[in-house]
Amino acid sequence: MMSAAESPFVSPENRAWAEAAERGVLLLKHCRVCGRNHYYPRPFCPFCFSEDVEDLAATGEGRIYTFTVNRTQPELRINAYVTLADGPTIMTEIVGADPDAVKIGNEVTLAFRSSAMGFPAPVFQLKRSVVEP
Amino acid sequence: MSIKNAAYIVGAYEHPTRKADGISLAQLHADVARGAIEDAGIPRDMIDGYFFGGDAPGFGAFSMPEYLGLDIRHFDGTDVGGSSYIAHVSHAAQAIAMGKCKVALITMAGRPRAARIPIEVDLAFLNNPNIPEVASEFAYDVLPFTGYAMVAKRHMYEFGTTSEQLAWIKVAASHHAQHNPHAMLRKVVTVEEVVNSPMISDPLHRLDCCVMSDGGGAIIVAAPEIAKSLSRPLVAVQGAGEAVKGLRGGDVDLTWSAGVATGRSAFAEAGVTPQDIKYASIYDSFTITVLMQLEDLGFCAKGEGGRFVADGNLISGVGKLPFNTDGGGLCSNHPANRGGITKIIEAVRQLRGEAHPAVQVANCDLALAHGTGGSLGVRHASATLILERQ
Repeated sequence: MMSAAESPFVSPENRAWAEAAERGVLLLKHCRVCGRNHYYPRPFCPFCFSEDVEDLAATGEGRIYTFTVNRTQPELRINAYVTLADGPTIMTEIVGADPDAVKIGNEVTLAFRSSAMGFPAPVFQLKRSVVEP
Repeated sequence: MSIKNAAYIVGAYEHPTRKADGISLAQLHADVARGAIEDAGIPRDMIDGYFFGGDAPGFGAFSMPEYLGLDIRHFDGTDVGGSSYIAHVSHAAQAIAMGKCKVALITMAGRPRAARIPIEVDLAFLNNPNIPEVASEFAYDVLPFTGYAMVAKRHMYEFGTTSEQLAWIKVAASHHAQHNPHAMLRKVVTVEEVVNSPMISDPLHRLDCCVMSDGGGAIIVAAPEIAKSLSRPLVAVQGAGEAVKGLRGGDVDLTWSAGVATGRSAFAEAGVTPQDIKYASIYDSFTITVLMQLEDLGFCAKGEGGRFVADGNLISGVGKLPFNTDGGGLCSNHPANRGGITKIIEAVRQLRGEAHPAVQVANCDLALAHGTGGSLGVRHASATLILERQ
């Protein structure tokens, strides 16, 4: 298995973010000037263009903004956008859930799954639901 | 300064093919160029500007003018996917207004069906790690239909839009496509047939999606004095707008598109309002694409799109806003996953009175063509064009 260090998707700009994913941490960026958090992480704030930004570990809590169940593949995939408690809404996936139980507004919590990029991708699980066997 | 009345569309041609076996990509471009040249009745050698998107092989400007034997003094290869060609008309009008060229040719062509290129391969260039957002998105493999499905899901959640309302958009397109001998899907469908077609990606059904086809088209834009010397009806460029929208650093709102800005710009430049438009070509990669754009352009209020499109309101001769009277991407064609040029071509047919008699809008003197390139579900470029018959 490739690691973040070897991944062609990792650049000097996103290395800390990719390596944090290997530790199960989702990094956002916080702007010390305007106070806003952004995602995907840039070396400057896209809102105020300040370069005074720092890494911020997401709390891992969020709510589903929207989602879809892709039914064209042998294995169902639930694509989603999740609005993080920290502010940004991010592209992600819902895993381990019964598709019929997934709703906009559901509370979700951070998890990671392996990805073809060589480092884990942040995904989310429903917070208070148990998947029926 | 404005492009209003600065340029005219004098030539328009749509390739009849929907599966281009036995012909090269370059020759498809040549075929559509020839079609537009003959439609305009203008000598090829008067073309002094060439406009193209990412479908034109060889960086466009390197290879195509040479291949076509054009001697150009101006070019523009703006590529924003399917809406590129709508932007090209605006850029051509700007270039003509500035004296950079007098006769501009726009070509678009593709043959992914004949070449058996699936859309994920066609779009693979978007996975280049140099693109800053790729590392945060690649793993999720969001395709056009999953992205648009998430837009539709959110629209339903916020505004109560229903699958039946979305289905009306396909129904209207199919009513028009029955009269187009080249359309891939000519059968008139019902709301029930759309909502009972297989679920592709909730809430989008198979019949909420456009066809996938080969083909293409070409447009010729000319300076006023040249347009007036030709024997074709005069179709003037009156206004245009272009804008982009993406995930905005995490400040995501999928309920509106860059069409809000492009519509505002185009209507202001043309000095008209949505209520003045007699015919609208609206990009229709999916039914939700049409609904969102109609709202964003101001044909109805945000959130009212479902009610606006229901009950045949988009059907020519039936409703208040006839749209995509060729059958559009939903039924006729969507060449190389880029539907912008056919949107312009059908608007030109309507303004000239050359649409099929069964769908021709009476006294059609003002039309709009609007496109979305990329994905409303992730990031996109919108372009709007307002045209007037004089």
